[in-house]
Amino acid sequence: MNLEKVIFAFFIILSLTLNFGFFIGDINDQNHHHVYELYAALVVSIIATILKFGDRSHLGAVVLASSLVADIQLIAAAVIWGLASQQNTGIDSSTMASIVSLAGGALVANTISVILLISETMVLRR
Amino acid sequence: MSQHIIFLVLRRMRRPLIALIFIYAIATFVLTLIPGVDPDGNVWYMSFFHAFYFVSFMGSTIGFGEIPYPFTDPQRYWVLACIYISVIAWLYAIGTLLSLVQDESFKQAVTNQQFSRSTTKLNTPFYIICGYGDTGRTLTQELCNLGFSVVILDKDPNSILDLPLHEFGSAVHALVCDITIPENLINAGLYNPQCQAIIALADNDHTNLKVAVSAKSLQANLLTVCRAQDQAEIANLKSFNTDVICNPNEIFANRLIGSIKNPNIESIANRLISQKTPLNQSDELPENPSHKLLETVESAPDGAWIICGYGKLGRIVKAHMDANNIPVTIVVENKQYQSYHHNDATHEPSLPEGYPENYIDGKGTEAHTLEKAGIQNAVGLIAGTQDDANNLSILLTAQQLNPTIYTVGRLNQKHNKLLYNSAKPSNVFRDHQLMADAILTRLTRPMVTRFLQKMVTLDSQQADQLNQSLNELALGDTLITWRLHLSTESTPAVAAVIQQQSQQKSQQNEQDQGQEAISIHHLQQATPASQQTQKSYCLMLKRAGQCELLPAPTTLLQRGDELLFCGNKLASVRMLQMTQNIELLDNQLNSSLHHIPLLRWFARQRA
Repeated sequence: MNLEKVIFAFFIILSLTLNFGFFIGDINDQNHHHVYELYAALVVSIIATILKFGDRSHLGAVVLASSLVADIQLIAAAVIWGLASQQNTGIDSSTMASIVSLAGGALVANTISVILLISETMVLRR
Repeated sequence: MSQHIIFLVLRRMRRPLIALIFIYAIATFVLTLIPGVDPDGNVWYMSFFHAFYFVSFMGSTIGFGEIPYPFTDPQRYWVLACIYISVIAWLYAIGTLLSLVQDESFKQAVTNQQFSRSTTKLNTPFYIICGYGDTGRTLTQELCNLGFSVVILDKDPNSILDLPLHEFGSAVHALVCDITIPENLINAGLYNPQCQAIIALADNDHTNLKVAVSAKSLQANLLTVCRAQDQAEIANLKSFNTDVICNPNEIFANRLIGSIKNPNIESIANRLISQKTPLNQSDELPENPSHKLLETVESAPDGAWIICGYGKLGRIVKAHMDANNIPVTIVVENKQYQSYHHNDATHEPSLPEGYPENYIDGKGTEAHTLEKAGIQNAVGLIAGTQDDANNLSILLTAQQLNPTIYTVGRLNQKHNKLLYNSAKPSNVFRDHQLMADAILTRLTRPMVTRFLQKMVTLDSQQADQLNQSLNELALGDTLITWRLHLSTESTPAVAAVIQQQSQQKSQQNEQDQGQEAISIHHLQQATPASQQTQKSYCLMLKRAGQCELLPAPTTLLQRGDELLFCGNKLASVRMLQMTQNIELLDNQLNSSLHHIPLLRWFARQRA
């Protein structure tokens, strides 16, 4: 067992689970989506991206790309949230819907990352 | 290669970046948790937006103050801790980056990348020189003067230190690397279509062999020039079709024998090989450099010779002299013999391998050794040891013992040249100069090289005549050689006339136009006014792979012919004009037929 591999897989899977946790629920209901969960998902996703730096294999390149996609989607969601929350009216349901749908896109990218990770492990096992 | 560096940076920066993000994330997160009090006394919590904004300017120690409201004490405690932690994280990240930049392997990777980028982008003709010694230096200078770019590879970083100080005419790229590794040759631009040739000039024969073999297997069509002295290595090089194998000793021996047996040919060769670089490159055509006699070398006498030093040079010269029935005495220091005397060994030392029976033992620096070798009756002496100081001593001793003797000094190191100037030997063997001249001639003027190879078949009368003509020509002028290739692209006028004449012939045109068939002397003819000042000789005609030396002026020209001319500059300019301009050529051919240009033009149209 390799500690580096554990940390790597940990962050990739954690970014998927946090992302999923934020995404799940009514798309426009603010009570179903907590800002701390989005924050945690964003931080973990960025750390996962950095962990993927420097892998020159083809698979590593695809994983890095999917991770960058997740980052961009989550950052966009966070920026919208930040802007909307500064308004006096607060976050309305349509803004919430766009935040959650961006996070949903990030969820797909994170899922791809995890699938690639698992498939790589399967290849190694064989 | 460029990706390589980015990945190198990313991989090394992984840890500090994660630390930085982790610290920022914690700081931001905790700030949103700690309650604050606004001026109205209400409890408020920082939003992520404000928290991240605050942490960002706090972490970079800019410090815009406490926003949006003054902090409470618990918030200040946390900010205090964050300031120190974030500074440490930043120092860690920047420190890692700086140490990476100073890292030797990283620097090497950056240099390699810049080098290979500049060589793959080269879009002018260039040469790769492997091994930057005296020969490489001379060759680089000459190639740059001719307007070529040069890529230099050498293992020793000290050898290319002086490159940035040197002012070359064109771009010179240098890289310190192991030239025996094929990848380095590819980096140097081996696959670049502009690469003209690869020249291996390392001191070690086997290194050169490795370069040549990798160049030949990677780019079979590339001209490969290789320096080699060892007979076994030369045979090996020949086995995989190395284009040019340069053995300085062989070149020297050939030229020395040529100078003894056929001084005229040697004199012509000397004139054609030594070349002066044109000052203004723009108006010179390729393969059109002028020649000058670098130094007048008197021809070597025929008779008994003494060779001091029996290394590779001595052996080759002796073999050539034996083949030409020139009596030769070898003076060489027998190390075994000395140890025999020194150790009082009981058995007579055996003759070292390859030594001739009648060699004289000794350095040659002492008078008695040279006297024993018969210096009084000898006509020539070669000081050919590998030690310049010894060579100098031999030369001076020999000149004292026999003032009329023809002396040849071997110059091993370029920087000892001054010493030789004072000793004034009749001829100096400088292997780097010989090599550079031979390679340069081969690379930039292959026709001249071909001519020099074929020239030995000239009989003595022809050679004498040619030598005299060239000498006369060179008296008031610099000689230049130039090549004409009769094709539509390079000589449109000549090609058009040849085509026109062949058409007339095939149509069996009864009506004689009075036009002479075009031959060499038409190209050479001068305008009457300047007849005195322009002269040229056609040295060689290459037709369908066959070379004809000194073709008759009445030889008819054909399409695809290659001609080598030698003459003064005016003649070359005139000839090149004539091959480009159909009016001039027509005037030359049909001047008796039509005097008026308009009629001439009309006659041409009708034909």
